Amino acid sequence: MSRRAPLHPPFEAEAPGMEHAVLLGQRAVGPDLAVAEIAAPRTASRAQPGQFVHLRIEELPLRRPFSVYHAAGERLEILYRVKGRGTTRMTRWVPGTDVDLVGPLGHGFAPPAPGERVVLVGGGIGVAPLAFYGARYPEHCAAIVGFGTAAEVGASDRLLQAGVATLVTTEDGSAGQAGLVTAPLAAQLAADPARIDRILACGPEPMLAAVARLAEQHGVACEVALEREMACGTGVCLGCVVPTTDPGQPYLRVCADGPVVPAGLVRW
Amino acid sequence: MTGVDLSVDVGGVRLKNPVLAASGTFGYGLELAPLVDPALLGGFVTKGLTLAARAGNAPRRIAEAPGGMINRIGLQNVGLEVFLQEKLPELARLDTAVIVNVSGDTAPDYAALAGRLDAVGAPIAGIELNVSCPNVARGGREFGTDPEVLFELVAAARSRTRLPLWVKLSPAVTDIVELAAAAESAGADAIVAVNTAPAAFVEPVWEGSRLSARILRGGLSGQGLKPIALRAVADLRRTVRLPIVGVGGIGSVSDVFEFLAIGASAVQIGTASFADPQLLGRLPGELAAALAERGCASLAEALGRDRVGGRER
Repeated sequence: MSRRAPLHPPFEAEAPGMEHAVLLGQRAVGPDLAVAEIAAPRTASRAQPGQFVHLRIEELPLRRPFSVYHAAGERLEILYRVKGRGTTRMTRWVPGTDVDLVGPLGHGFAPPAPGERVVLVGGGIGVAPLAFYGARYPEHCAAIVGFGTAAEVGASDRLLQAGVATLVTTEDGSAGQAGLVTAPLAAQLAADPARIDRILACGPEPMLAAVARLAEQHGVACEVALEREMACGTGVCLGCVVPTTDPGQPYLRVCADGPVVPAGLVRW
Repeated sequence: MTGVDLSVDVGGVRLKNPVLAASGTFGYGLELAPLVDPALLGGFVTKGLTLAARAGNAPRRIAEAPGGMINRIGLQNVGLEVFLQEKLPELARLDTAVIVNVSGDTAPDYAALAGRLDAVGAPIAGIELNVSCPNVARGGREFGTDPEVLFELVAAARSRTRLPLWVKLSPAVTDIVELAAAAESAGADAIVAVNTAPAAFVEPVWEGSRLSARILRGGLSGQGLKPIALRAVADLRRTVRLPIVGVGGIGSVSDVFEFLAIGASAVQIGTASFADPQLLGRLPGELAAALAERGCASLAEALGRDRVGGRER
């Protein structure tokens, strides 16, 4: 709890704010996958890779958290999969729709140290915060991103545009290498773990657990971006916690202690 | 500003306006400061405090519900000592009334917490006894369902503090009026009505042709709770002399007026702040503007001096 050493180095991100943003447009990037393009100058100029925004969605009682996928100038993008009440409503938003947004929230990935070589490992829409990191620090990054099938690979468009060397996997083999992201990651680590200084991962929990295990086996630093249902998004309600490996802090709050945390701190 | 005097006295707690943040939705006062200036609030109630730190319940802890949410946080908190050493100095910086919400496993726990907080005094404006948490195995709601047990508990806390004592009741009781009467006779200074209502979120799970359920048992808050809370406040107002703090599903100034009209002296806002973090900061101004429009110089003028008996028409 509050006695332990801080999880993150002194955080220089600016305080979150509320922003009355406006939807610029949406683009489909795969089946049930979309990118919402939002004019949000305050948030776009402050967001760090790994941070999230909390969107109010019409009459729904709780906001929905989304990692920032892309931020440039006044423009902010979020990547989402259409799967529930909130995201279904979002698909009906047309350009000009008001977007009530709180952000940027949470702690992001640590920026790269000089010369640091970072591997981004993303699964599905988990690619979102990694694409933002890759676009900001392309010279430090290589990426491995996995999807179910070729039609979903468009969800990594911002990463590919950033010029980050990216290896794609699909579970059905319809694009890139067949299988899961963990296979090429394991191969790279086995070949020469010293070539990788840090792994950043975001995606389904079993993938994160597998990536965390590989990183630990090879002694490579690893940060993961977690996702949970949230109520407040600001650290007060304690609804989005995950169990930790630290007896002094049994749970961490994904919204305020994360969403990016050291992989070794999470009890998978 | 409109110049309307919104101040109100709730069982010895002087509030500059009747809008408070409910326990568990405003942390320890500073977390939300970038979004809402605590000085705008009449006050806030801190996250439920216990003698020893508590880890809280294993996740999953929340689910959305129609008009609100269901939570089973389980009183995760830093414990009394860390609260006093690390949180209290921050609270002292806030220009608003701070009510400390406390819970325990036994009546002596509540008494011990009341005694320690009494010794601290300022900046603590009052204590809210949580006798209605639906999410812990022991203590919590069981203390708030039996009038005799509740009397003993409130009396034990009362014997250890001169700070104003508010008692927060559950809506899931046989007779909330009887419980409030027990709290009143044991020396409580105000009744807070209501805590969350026991509820469940269910996801059907199919394994082939076999149906089972994934369930989250917790407390319902938000708009769905409002009619239940209004009924509790209305029933209490008929018979109980203590001031009443209304809480449950309030999300607008018109909701605030519903509770004030039926006899609440002040209100707490909880779940609505999650969707609209700036609501708390806006409500006092909206309240003042609405009163000014009616020609009221003060909130007291609208409420009348004696609230006992209510003003149902």
